[in-house]
Amino acid sequence: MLEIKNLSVSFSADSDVLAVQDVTLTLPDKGRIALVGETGSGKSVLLLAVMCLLAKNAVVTGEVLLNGEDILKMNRKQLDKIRGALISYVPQGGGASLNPLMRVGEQVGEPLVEHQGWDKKDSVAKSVEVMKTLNMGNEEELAASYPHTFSGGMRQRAMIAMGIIAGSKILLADEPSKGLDEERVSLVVDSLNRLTEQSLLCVTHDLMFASRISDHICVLYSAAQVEFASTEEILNDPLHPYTRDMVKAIPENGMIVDNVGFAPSHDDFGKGGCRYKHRCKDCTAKCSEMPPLFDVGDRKVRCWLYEDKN
Amino acid sequence: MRKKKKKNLPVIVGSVIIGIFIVIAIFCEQLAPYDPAITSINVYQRPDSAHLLGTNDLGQDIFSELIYGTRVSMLIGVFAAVIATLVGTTFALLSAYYGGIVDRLITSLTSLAMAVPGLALTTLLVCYLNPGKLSLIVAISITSWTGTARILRSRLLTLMEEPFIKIEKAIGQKDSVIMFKHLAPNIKDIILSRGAMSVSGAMMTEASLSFLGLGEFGEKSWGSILHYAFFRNGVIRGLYWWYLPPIICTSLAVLGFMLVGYYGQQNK
Amino acid sequence: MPGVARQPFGIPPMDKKNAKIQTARHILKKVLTSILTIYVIITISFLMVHFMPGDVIKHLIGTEDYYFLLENNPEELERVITKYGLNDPLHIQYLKYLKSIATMDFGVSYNNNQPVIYNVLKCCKWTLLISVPTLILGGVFGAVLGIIAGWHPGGKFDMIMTPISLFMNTVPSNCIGILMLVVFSYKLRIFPISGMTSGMLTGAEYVKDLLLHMTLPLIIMVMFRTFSDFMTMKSSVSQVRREDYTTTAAAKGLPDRKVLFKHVMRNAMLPYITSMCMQMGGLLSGSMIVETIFGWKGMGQLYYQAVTNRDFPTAQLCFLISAVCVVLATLLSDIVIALIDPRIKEKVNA
Repeated sequence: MLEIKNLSVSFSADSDVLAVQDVTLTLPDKGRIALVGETGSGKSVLLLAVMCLLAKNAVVTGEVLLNGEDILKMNRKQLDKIRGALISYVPQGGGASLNPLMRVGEQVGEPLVEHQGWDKKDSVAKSVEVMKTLNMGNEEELAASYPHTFSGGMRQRAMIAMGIIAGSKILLADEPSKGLDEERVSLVVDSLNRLTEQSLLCVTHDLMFASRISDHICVLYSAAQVEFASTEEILNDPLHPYTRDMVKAIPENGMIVDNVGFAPSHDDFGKGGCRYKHRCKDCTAKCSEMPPLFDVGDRKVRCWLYEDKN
Repeated sequence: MRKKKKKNLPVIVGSVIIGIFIVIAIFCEQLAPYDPAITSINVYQRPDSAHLLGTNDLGQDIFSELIYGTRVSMLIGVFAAVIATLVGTTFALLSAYYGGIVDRLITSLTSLAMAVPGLALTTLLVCYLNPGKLSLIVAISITSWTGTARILRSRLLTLMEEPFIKIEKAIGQKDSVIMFKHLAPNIKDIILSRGAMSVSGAMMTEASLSFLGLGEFGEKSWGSILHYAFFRNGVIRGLYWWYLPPIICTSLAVLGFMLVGYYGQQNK
Repeated sequence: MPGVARQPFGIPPMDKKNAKIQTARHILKKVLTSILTIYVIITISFLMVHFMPGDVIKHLIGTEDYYFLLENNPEELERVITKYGLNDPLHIQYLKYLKSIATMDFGVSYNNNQPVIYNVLKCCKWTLLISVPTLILGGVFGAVLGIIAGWHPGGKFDMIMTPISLFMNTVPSNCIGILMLVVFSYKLRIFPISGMTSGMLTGAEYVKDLLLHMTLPLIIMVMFRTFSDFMTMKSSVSQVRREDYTTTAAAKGLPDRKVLFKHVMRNAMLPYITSMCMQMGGLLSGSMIVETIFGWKGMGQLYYQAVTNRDFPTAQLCFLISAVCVVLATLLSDIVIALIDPRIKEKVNA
């Protein structure tokens, strides 16, 4: 179980600009949560912060409890023990996400060598096996190839294999559908859905993709959590104005975009209030104050509209 | 977050150094107390109020020599660098823009020129051409344009893939307009910084060649002063006022151009 | 979840045999290019003599000698002109020149009437004695320091080392050479002033004396090389460090040491190896200034003296040898990279 409590990230100590603001989230065992938000809403930073992989100048506050232990308080040695073994980060499958000079099988098997002391040859054999469970096709050949011969979807799935190979039960995936065409997105979805033993926290900007892989969705807007609910509820009955607008914009719902606007610039960031107020049709005077996360049934919404339903 | 425009200290320091040397080079007649060519019987004089940096084996005033040397050294360095940068930029533009056979020709020419050991060729050329300012400039620029051409070409090749260039091509804009109005301004910073680096490189080569005695005979550059100081036993006899000033001047000038070139590019 | 049909592998992978053929073809192409380059350089060096302003014979025997012979011994001058075949048409001269190079007949030095090739080979040995240690020591020091600075860019070590090495890269080597000579040889009298040995020594004494003589030039060369290699390695490491696969490696739970050695170093070494191979091209010609200052009788000084004494056969051979070295070094770097980097073969295919 992974519990994220009041996690905030900024990139300089005296700055009021937060890349991630006060995010609280619980990922139960075998749970599948998608973090949905626009580009720049701080989703990827959130994952890196959970893994303690951010650059040194990042200031991270809050708690990240992995089975009760705070990851943020661990030293490097302890971190090395859990990364890839208990909790895995699956990077975006861009061109440079795998070491270009190492065969893929060797890279996929590396966590086994590191955490369980396997020798290289066995780890490559095991990587073929794991890739088979992800249904990648031609697994032996893939393992013996270099990453530059891979397509984006292949790299993405190889990295999913890398994430689960050492028995890690928590996967944090960063935009696994980004830059892929529909067919390859389906392959990635298929691979992710074959992971029945693991829990998944997946960052994406694509609501449709999120709906195919998750049971709960957490919506982020401009660094802050605005809504958390089950996938069906988000898709069929969104509460927060931003989520509503986002759901209206997906093709099945008519692609209605009637409040064009931009995410708040860094300049008005510090001025407080609800981040969505400039674009929100239900904006009231109260919105100049930042709403807390209200509980509506078992859902969570950050909007003053739901103050009395609390 | 508003960020104050960070002052680029190394570039400022470099520019100040370059500025001072340029002023000296322009006004050397007014600045020099003596005519550096005039010999006298006061040989090997230590620095005093009459001769700020003493005199050499022929009784020439070293301070005046140094000031006139600034003009020679700067002239050769700047001219050679301007030629090298112009040639390199032109080749890079042609090569990246037209591609195909033009690109292949220019690329092989560049690798050929890179295969020739620079200092060796320059030495040989200066020797064939007879030592002098012009032959130094020609010899230095002939071997030093390759680096600029390579770097600019690869930068331009990425630019060529950018939509705004593709659009210009698609609407049938003239080649020359695309090259000089759209491509060139985008690599202006790199050209300038490469240019500054080229000056420092050219001045170093000039210093080496003149030190070897392949420089201008009539007008001494800093390198030539050092040449005489070394080969006429000024170094062995410990005449520090003779060999130190040209060393310091050369290093400072080269450093000035290097700072502007290296850090000017870094913070962009 | 409905199963998705197994997809065939996106890009057809090359089988191993095919990959080997690709590599071999790539290397063969590079070898042919190098041979062509050497041929072009030989031709250029021929044309350079014949198309330079001024009389060819003046270039070949030197202006002073030319006027001396013209006044005192016109028959001898005529004999020399015939000997060089300067009366022949240009293409015959060119063929003769190619033939002399093919038969390794580079003429006789004007200085000591020895065959040029003999002089050059003798000097090569002395140059290699300092340039090979320079390559190795500078390469190792530069790499180690560069890795440390590049691993923490903007850190204390980087902030101190980078300006220093930038400065060291700007000071002309003759300046540092003279300063070191003044301080260590004239003032402190630790090292001998010039030359290679004091003479009259044999065995261990000889070796010790030789080492003492080469210390100062070696230190200067190593210092310069270290700082330039440092810059290469530093920029390479700090660039690779920002690549995604470095994050991927850390996310697997690899400790810093392993991230550095297994992932970052392997990739950062590619440009460094290229640079090291290219430096081998300068093994014979890169130390001219230092050799001149310290009276080290190597290729650089031979070349320098040949040029100042207008000993053109020697100068030309030195030039050719240096150029061939650079071409061979480039070829070496191409081959090494083709063998290490799996991506090169693809580029050949494309």
